[in-house]
Amino acid sequence: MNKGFEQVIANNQGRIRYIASRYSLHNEFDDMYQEILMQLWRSFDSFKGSSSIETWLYKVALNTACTFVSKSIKHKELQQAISAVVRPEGVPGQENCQAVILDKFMNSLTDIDASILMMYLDGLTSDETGDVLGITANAVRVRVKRIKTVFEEQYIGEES
Amino acid sequence: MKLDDLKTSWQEQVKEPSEQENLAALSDALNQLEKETSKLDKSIKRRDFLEISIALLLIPVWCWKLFYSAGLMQTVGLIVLILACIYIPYKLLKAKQIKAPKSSSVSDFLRVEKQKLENQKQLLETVAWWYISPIFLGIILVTLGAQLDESGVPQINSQMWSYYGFCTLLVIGIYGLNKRAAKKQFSPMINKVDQRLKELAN
Repeated sequence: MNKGFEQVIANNQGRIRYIASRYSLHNEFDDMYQEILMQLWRSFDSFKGSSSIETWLYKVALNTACTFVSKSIKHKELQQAISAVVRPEGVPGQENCQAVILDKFMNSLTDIDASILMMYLDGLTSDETGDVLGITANAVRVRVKRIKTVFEEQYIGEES
Repeated sequence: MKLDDLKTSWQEQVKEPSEQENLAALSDALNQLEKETSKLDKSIKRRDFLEISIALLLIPVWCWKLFYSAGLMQTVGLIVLILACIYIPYKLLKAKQIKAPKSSSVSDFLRVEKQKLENQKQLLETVAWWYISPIFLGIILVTLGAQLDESGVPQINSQMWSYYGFCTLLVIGIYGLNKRAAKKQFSPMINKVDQRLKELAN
């Protein structure tokens, strides 16, 4: 299992990092990241491949993030291992203008709308996003449209 | 700028691979933590089992005491304690019985999580009725019933007054702490889950 799991983390650490960053309060990032990894690790055995790995990952990560309560118990070795994997910047791509705009816009959205936007940008279909969140594909489309409108109202005419 | 313009940039950023050697250490640390968490889960289950076992084991003791009851007051007290020893484990077990989510989607997960939290909050808020009152009442009746004079009136000496005073303070303390935990710990968590559910519905 270890190798398969390592591969999943290797391919998805940016997503996990972003979810942990988006949903955590200022000083909770490490705890949240650790908890998401732990839940992914636990449910990895039960992942049967009936959905895509991204869908599974979003479900587990968002379920964990939505109900996260910071624990005072720290696991030193895991913290060290996380530090070695997670880049110090914390959130993806602060280095370019588009990422800064996106980050700013993402922070202006509700948690659920931010999740929908993440999955949309990630290329998940409305059906897949609906499956992750437990809402209809149509509801997802309506909300994506609404998010797009808000974005365009705020950033219309701005160059990337 | 349109939102779709950011898609490529986003996908490039979230797909940055990690170094394999660091991931191996991460995997080992997770494995270790999982073992420790399993141990913790087992100790919690053991504690619950112990609490329930003690309650159930006390039932025959109270039943046996019934045969040597000093009078009606003590009998009533013992019956109250027997019923409490049956009801308390039932209440604790019932609060843990949560229907599994229909799917692993965020909305189903949140609904189940909300139910779990509400059950726990309700347990704490009503602790006076299902835990404190029956035990306190049972103890009072049993001890008072053991000190009746010939005319059937309880004779309470200063030692017993101190004992009842101590029990009362203890009961008030337990009640206050439980109420506080329900309000401070569970209410904000329920509100947070509720907020997410509302966001999903909008």
